[in-house]
Amino acid sequence: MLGAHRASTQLFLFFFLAGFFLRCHAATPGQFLYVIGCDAQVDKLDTLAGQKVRTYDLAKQTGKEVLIPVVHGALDSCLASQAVYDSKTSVFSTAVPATNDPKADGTKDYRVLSFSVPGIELVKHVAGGENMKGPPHLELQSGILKIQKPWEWTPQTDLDLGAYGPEKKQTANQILESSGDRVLLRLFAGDDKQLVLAVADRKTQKLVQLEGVPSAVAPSVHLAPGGGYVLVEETGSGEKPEKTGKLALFDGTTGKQLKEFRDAHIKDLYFLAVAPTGRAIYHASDRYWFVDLKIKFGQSPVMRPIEKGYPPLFFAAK
Amino acid sequence: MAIPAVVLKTDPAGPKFPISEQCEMPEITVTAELQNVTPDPKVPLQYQWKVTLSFNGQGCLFAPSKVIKHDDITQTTPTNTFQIQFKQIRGGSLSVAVTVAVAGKMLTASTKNLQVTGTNPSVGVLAIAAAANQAFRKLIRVESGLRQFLSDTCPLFSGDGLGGVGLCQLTYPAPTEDQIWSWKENLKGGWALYKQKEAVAKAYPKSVREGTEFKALVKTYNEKRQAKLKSAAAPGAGGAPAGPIKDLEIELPDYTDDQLERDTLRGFNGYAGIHEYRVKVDKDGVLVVTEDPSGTKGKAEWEQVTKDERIKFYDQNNVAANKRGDPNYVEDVESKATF
Repeated sequence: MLGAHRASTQLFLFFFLAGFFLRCHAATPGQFLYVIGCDAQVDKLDTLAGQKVRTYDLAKQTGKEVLIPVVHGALDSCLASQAVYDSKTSVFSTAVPATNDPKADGTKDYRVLSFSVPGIELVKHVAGGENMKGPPHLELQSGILKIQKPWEWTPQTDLDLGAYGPEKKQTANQILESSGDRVLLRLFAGDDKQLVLAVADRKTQKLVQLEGVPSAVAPSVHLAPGGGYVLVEETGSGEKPEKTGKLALFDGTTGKQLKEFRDAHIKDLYFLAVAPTGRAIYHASDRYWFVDLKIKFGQSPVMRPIEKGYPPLFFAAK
Repeated sequence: MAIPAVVLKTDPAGPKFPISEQCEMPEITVTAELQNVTPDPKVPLQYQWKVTLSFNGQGCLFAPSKVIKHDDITQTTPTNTFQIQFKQIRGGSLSVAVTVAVAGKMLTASTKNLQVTGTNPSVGVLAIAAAANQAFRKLIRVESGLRQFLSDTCPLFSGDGLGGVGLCQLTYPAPTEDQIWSWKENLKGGWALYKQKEAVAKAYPKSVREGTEFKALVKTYNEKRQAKLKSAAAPGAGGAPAGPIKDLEIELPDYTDDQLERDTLRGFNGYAGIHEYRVKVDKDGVLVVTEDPSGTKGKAEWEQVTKDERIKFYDQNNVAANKRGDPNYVEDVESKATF
């Protein structure tokens, strides 16, 4: 009897400690940001610690095979395009050219390489298309990586707002970013000098216009992961407006401003992403800066119709 | 009693034998003089010659660590003179060895400290040889200061240690041995590369026109335009044409000759992910279009990427400093004098 009691106590202790251990080491969703540079260098950032933790050279992660061109001088085009992360398998895929220099007709052949996360070890490589003027488009569809020729893919650039309440009006618009069911829109009105922003919820078919948006340009407005919040970087006026260092966070469900931040560092840095952990991340090349927005966001990655001006990146728990 | 020997003499005397300004290898005649031995006139002599010419880069700034050799030349002659017939344009250390059997004795000799050296072309000679393209000629000034050789014994290798060499500083594809020692071959290679980059630049506008990004820009422009026109047509807004508003057909032109030239120059240095021109958009990222008076067509514009904008692109896309090329390359070339 005593033996049975001791055994059950030991069993309890085992599960208690195991649970404690697991809790202590539980991964924080979206804690790590992987940024894939034009030269196929991957920076891993810890968004909670606010620092870069490691850099990988993808060209050196492909085993004995040379699958990414080794370039010693100036690049022709980027050596890595897009980063599509499958959180279920902890694998990300990226498109790479087979050579740095183009063929005589200006085209290149491409490969699609998939790497494990966090080990960044090559797990798969497939052909990505031959004689193409640009890299293939990668998309995860129902857990399967779809590789499309650049000309086979057309991004959705606007929403038909006819069914979106409360106004159910077909307002001309431009999709700036999307995450999950939410879409950040620029609404076009008669006055083309005014930046009118709204968040559309595809699920509830509701359109919420942001109120009291500070002076900003469309490229300086960002949806947070999950699509519930919008971060606006205030800019000055003129042809090439500079950032002022002021950030305003809006609730995408009410359109109201929630918080305001000031950080002079961001004036000279480029916006990179908003992390699920609540950090806005800025950079200039491989120098990073983290602004704590003091709020947690959802997990759905933020997508843009055209990923221009941003290096490929993704968030992962490890 | 003096020991029989064979002694080599060269004509010209050397020790340096320059490749001519016209990239011709030097004409060298070697004479083997027998000393302290009288050959039997009934026994014909056979002089076995071996010529080696190689360059290992030692003492030359930024030279890659590899040996560049002229194919060895071996020949047997019945007389004691031998004119070296070079078949390739090469420089470096020259060695001539001879072996001859005389009176039952095998006599050998070899030269020491001889060198085949390079000669830079004069501007006049270069002007005759180079393609009549001003941009290409200016580019050579930027790349090499019109020099194939840093000194008569050293080809001009690039300071970045990547093995770029000569007049056109050919780097990728890796220069051939001919392109290292012959300025004419280097020039030919540079021009071929220039034309290749020109073809890429020429094809670029079409690839942008047909690309996803431009199509998306056109769509957004038309969305914005429609909103503006509808607003103007709204009751009380002054009125405008009723009925559906057609999307504008937006043309993105081919490069002008000047634009083509600049984008070719950029390609020569390396695009590093961004051409010399990009489609012009406004501060909100909306296409800049000049509409024609009929209101059915519009023209998008190419915008030259400034040095600062280029650096911004590199910083935004994490392009490492050693993979960027020269952000000011095109301006550097254009500021140079032609010849």
